[in-house]
Amino acid sequence: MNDSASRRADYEKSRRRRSLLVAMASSAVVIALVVVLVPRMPRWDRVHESFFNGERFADSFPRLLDAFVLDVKIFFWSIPFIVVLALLVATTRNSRSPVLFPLRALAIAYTDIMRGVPVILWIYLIGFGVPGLGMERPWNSPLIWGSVALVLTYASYVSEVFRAGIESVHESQRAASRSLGLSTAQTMRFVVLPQAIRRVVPPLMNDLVSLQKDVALVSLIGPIEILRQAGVDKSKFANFTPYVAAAVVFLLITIPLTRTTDWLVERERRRTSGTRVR
Amino acid sequence: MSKISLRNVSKSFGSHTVLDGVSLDIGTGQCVSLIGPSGSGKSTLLRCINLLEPIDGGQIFLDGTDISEPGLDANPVRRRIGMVFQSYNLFPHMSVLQNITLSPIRALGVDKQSANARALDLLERFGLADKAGSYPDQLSGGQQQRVAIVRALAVEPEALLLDEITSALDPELVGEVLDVVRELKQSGMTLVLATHEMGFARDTSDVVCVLDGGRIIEMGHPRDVLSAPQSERAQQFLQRIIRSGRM
Repeated sequence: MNDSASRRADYEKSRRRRSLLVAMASSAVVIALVVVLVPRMPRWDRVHESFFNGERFADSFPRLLDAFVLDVKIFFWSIPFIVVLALLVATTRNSRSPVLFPLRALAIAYTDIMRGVPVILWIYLIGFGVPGLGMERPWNSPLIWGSVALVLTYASYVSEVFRAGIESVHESQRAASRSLGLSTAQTMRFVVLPQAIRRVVPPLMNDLVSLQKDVALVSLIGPIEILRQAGVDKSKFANFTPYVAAAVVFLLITIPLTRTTDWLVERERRRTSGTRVR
Repeated sequence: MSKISLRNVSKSFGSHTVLDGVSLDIGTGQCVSLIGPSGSGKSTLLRCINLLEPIDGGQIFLDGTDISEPGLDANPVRRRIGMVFQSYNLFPHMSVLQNITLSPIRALGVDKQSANARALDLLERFGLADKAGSYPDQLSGGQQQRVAIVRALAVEPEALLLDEITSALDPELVGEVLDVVRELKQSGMTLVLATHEMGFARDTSDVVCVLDGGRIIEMGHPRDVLSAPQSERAQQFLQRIIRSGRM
């Protein structure tokens, strides 16, 4: 028996070694192709000069990082509003009480309208339209109304994600909760929503990553954030490298964000579940 | 006076009649088994008593009070009548202890410490003390169902409805769950169970009801009903059960 156990271990080990080798070999081939082929393109030297200029990169990068602080601010102050509004809309749409019919209709109209128009149009409409009402400072700031446009559109996307999550929780869970004497609201809060939210974390993160990128659209109505700053630098030096630098800055935040979520989801899964199928 | 009384209860889903004038009296501390073919209305009857389904006609009384009155607040009633389901329906995102204490803390307003203490007592009593911190997916079916029973008991109900609670279990795990039910019966709990376990119904219940097509076609002492059924439908049903080797 010991013999068969060690044979199995050997087999597993050789299989792991083999997959590692295959992965390394295929990556090496792809990288080699890119490194060898791209520089052979006829205009590579000019693209290299205007998109991957090391000097311009080093010059722009700190300025872009500074401007990016505004993006991050807009991102972080929008999230709580988006989540709260989306949860309200999603739970309203899932309610069955006839009293709430007008609210339900409103919630449906809201998601339909907000989702049906491109984000950039909402930013223009709300960002230019509302300050046009002539409110006092700071209430005429395009920063505020640009953020409001983002919150309203993203809340409509996220509410649909929450709604799908809520509907994915089996009816028997509600039955069990109600049979224990919990009210509809308590059932929603303690039984349905926690399960729904756990299930939708990946699509939710997807929306947050795309929000992080769409924050740059607010620059179109004025505020100088990273995209705008990159545009300024590009025009000043007639070189596109600042855009590449801006892309790198975005990746610096979005990649850790998605990796962290995956890790959190995995940890939660391991904590609550039984054995896993290989 | 009966603990639970059904008077001419009827229920349909669309044009399909599921319960067709069911009347039944369940005394305090009695154990009533509902048997009958699939679709005969056993589960629906239990769900109606728990007010999970509104009834279309008739009345349901708990301690003489009509609980089927439309517009009545169902939550206090459900706290007095516990229910356990065929597929356990534990909350997968909560540990065993959290599953059990959720309702005592949130619905009954018990403080967390005493709710935990009481839950641990109950787990101890049913041999699950070491599972308090586990999550439902880490337990066997039999353990999950026992936790579900403990969860229902933690609300301190006056009666317990058991809806085919062993039907999803491996045969070897059925015993541990039925032992729990026997103990409940001994402790004086009023029990109504929908079941396919004929042996258990015969040995443990005080009354057996045979349902068919939403009606009670035979009712009485288990010995009489199970060994000498009067109606032809009940005879056929029991014949099939005997042939399938379940009795």
